[in-house]
Amino acid sequence: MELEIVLREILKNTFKNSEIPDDITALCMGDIEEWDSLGNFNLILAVESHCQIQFDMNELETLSSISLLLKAINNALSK
Amino acid sequence: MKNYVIGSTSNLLEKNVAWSALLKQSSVSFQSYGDISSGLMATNDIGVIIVIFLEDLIQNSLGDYSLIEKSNQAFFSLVEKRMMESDEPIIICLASRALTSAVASARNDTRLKAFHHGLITKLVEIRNTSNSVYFINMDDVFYGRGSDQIFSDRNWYFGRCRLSVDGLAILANSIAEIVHRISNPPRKVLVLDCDNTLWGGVVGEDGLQGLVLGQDGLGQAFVDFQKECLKLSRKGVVLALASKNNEQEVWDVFENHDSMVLKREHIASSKINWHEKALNLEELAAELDLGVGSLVFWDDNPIERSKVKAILPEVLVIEAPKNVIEWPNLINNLDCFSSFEVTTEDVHKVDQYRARAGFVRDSKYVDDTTSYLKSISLKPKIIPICEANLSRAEQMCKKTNQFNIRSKRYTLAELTSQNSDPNVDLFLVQLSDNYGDHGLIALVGIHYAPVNIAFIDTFLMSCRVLGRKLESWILNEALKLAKQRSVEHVLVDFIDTGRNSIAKDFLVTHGLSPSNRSNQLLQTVNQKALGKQEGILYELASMSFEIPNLEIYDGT
Repeated sequence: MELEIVLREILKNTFKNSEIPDDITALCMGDIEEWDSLGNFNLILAVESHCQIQFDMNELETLSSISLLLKAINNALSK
Repeated sequence: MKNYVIGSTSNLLEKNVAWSALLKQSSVSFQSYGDISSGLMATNDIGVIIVIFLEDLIQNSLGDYSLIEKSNQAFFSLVEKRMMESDEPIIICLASRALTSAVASARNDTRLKAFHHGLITKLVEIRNTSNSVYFINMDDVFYGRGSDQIFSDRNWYFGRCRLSVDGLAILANSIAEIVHRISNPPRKVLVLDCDNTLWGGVVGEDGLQGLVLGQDGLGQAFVDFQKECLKLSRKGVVLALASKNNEQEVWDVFENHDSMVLKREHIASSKINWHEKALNLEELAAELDLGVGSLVFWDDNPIERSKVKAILPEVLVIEAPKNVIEWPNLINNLDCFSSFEVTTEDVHKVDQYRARAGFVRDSKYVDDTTSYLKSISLKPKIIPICEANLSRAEQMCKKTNQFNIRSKRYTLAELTSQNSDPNVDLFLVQLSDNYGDHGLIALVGIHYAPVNIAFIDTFLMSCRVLGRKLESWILNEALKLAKQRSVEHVLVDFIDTGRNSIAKDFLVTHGLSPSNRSNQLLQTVNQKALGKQEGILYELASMSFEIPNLEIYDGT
């Protein structure tokens, strides 16, 4: 739950010109205008810096929604 | 806000937070990655930033660099063409990934090394021919962090970005610093505390011989710190003292301590007393005829520092670490003083400011300004514009705010074309007096229009020679030139910038008053492309108007 709040802050920071809904759990790439493939990369990099984690290439290519991102973060943090 | 276009050989991740410092001060449009040339063809009023990664250039070469050399040639000629046509900055960054193994370094492809060095040499050469080109060798900047931290293979393969998040942040901040420096003038004065700053200990308590200075260890650190101060002074930074001491004791150290690197003559101005330092800094700035925003303050005492910060936020206060051994390196890396364009004027500036401080001090004691000014043997000289002094003329156009009638920020190219126009007289004025050689300190441009009109387009004078009535002499010289062309009407267009009221006062006291006559005159002026009236038009009462204050300059 706490992670969701953090993630929403990162979304707000990364997509500065977009309105971020309160509930982000169902969001996918493309739902927000700035969240295109470049935006997705910037989002992932921001998540990595914030959580001090590093995804590998294979993971990176699958991370295209908040739910997948949350799962991957939890997974990386528990390692 | 200045506009920039940025292009790179790989992806710079537009909209990444790394760019926020740059975006705060300029509006930047990103070219699609791989495109480093179309930015160079943007309209001439836009600055260009280009980021080149060596690995991108050679990725398809398989060891044969001749084709890349060719495309580099094309790129360089684009850069050269742009720097001829536009005065806006061109910032070029070059980065390369370091080799990580000693064996690789020993046996590295020498052709690649030669190619890399050739590229750097060419970029340095281009930078040295133009005031608007800036070259950042990112390797220098990245070195401190280490290549592995800076570059990211994963980011490259996933998103065509060579850099890690950290690397991108360092690149973006380096560019932001350069952009900031281009539009903000460097600081000019380093104000130093004495006790526990220039030497260890308190001279009032420990005495001359008790000071920590010059011995091994800590005493050497103070010596090295002074050496760095002296180096800055040689580069044109003015040194001043603000210290709570008995003045005589401080000068005693300067004059009689064997290990002092700084001597009394290196200090342009000083306030050694028990007043608030903020007050002293204000006085120092006034004496040197600079704003407090030109000052950098170095004091070991955190309380003095925070007081100055609170009272004078424009002063740059250095947060000097407790440990003095860190100071020499810190001061060596300060970039608040570094100016991009070192004109020969800068080298003499220290002498000029010192002379200026002497001038202000002495004039307090002389009532009769005219006889005082006569006594200091003012020697002004008209200097025609030539290649060697053109950049000084441009610099003055850019920087002069107070005594400036139109404040037109002419570029090198514009000044060159004015200078070659037969209908324009453009000249500089040099001044020396008993206080020193002030160098080139004024610029005048007179544009002649048909029916015997002279339009004074440029009349500006550096603030460091104000108070010498030199403007009277210059106007008189300008009128002499105008008379040679049988001019009958002299017009001045005063553009109020809110900071140049001193120039307006000058007009009024020199026979120039707002012109209410003949639209015909106005029209003629407006037809001249160069001298369009934009402010309030002033006209000289008559060609035989007696210019005041000339007696000061009788002997010249």
